[in-house]
Amino acid sequence: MSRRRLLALLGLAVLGAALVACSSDDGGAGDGGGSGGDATEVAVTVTSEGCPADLQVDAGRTKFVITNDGANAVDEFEILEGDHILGEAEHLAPGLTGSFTLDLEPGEYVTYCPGGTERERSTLVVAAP
Amino acid sequence: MPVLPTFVIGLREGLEAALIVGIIAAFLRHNGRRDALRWIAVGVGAASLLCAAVGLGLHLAERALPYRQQEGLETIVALVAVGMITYMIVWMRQNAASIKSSLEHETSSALAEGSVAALVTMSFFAVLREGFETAVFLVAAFQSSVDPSATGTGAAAGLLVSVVLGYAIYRGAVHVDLGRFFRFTALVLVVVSAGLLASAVHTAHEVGWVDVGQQVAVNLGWLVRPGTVISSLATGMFGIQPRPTVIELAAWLLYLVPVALYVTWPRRVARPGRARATTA
Repeated sequence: MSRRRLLALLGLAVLGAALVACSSDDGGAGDGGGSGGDATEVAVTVTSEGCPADLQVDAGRTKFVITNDGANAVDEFEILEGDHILGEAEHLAPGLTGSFTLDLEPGEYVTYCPGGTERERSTLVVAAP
Repeated sequence: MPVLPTFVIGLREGLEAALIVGIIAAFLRHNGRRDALRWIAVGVGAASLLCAAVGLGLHLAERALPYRQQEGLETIVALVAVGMITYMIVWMRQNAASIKSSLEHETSSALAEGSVAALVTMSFFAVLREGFETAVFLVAAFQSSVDPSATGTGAAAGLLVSVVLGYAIYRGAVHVDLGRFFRFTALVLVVVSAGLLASAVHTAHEVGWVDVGQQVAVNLGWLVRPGTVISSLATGMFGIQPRPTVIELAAWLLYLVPVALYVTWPRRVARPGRARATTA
């Protein structure tokens, strides 16, 4: 008797979830590209030491392509402005690649590779074009 | 060894969902709503299929999962789950004294139809919460530049083990008698729920909703060494991060302490001989 209600609820849930999933991937940072304009691609490698020692890019739309070079304990790369996360790639097991695209103003940012032995936190310098 | 890192991630992501679903299923079963288990299966199946479709679809379209929406979804579902598990804890506490295990089947009336529907929906969202991300990860693992078959197998095996563990939790919880289930499970649930709350704070930071208190509060790296099976069990089941931030730890404690006290506080108990006047 409650079957119909349960079905309706489940249906609603599926619909809601689908909406969340499909809604705007123009939500800024997380977009992996394909749609994005002409983002400059920057390769980033995380190692068991952590983030790259000194990462430098030019201001503007940048696609960070992150590869894990054999670091078992590090599987995440984030770019932060102060304590605010601008972009991140997760689940980066060794050999896996992740990416995200950001529009960056000139300035100094923090890179964060949780689990890194030497450089869990490092810096990203964005130069004026 | 390329199997372990992806195994650890698969296990961690899978456990978060498997644990919630296992708990909900055991709770329903203990409350005489065995009939609802079918709907749990339907919900979990539908969520899994949806996630697999999204994972494959994104791969084919060469698009990444919009991570902000994903982390937002994780945060909201975790918060709703905390609310629900707290409801279960309170419900158990209030009913533990009056229910004898032998009368298990007679308690079914106490759990309202609406609650059952809510729990079923919750199990659907629990899978969806980590599912998109995990599906994308699974596809990526099979595309690895280093030994894709081993990497992919590791990820799939991690997921599989998490499902088995979730089922084991359900079976284990079903086999203890109801009185014990209520007393001990309530305490376990408090820890699980506090961990979920800490996870919600963590993902809320990743969305950009919470930026305060991001200093590392305590380094648990020695206990939950990143990249190990222990760490994925700790993070997946109890929401313990290797380096919890101040705000994560604060949320964890603020939930854990009062609710644990509530559960363990000695209570003026209606003795088994004294019948309860009304059902809840």
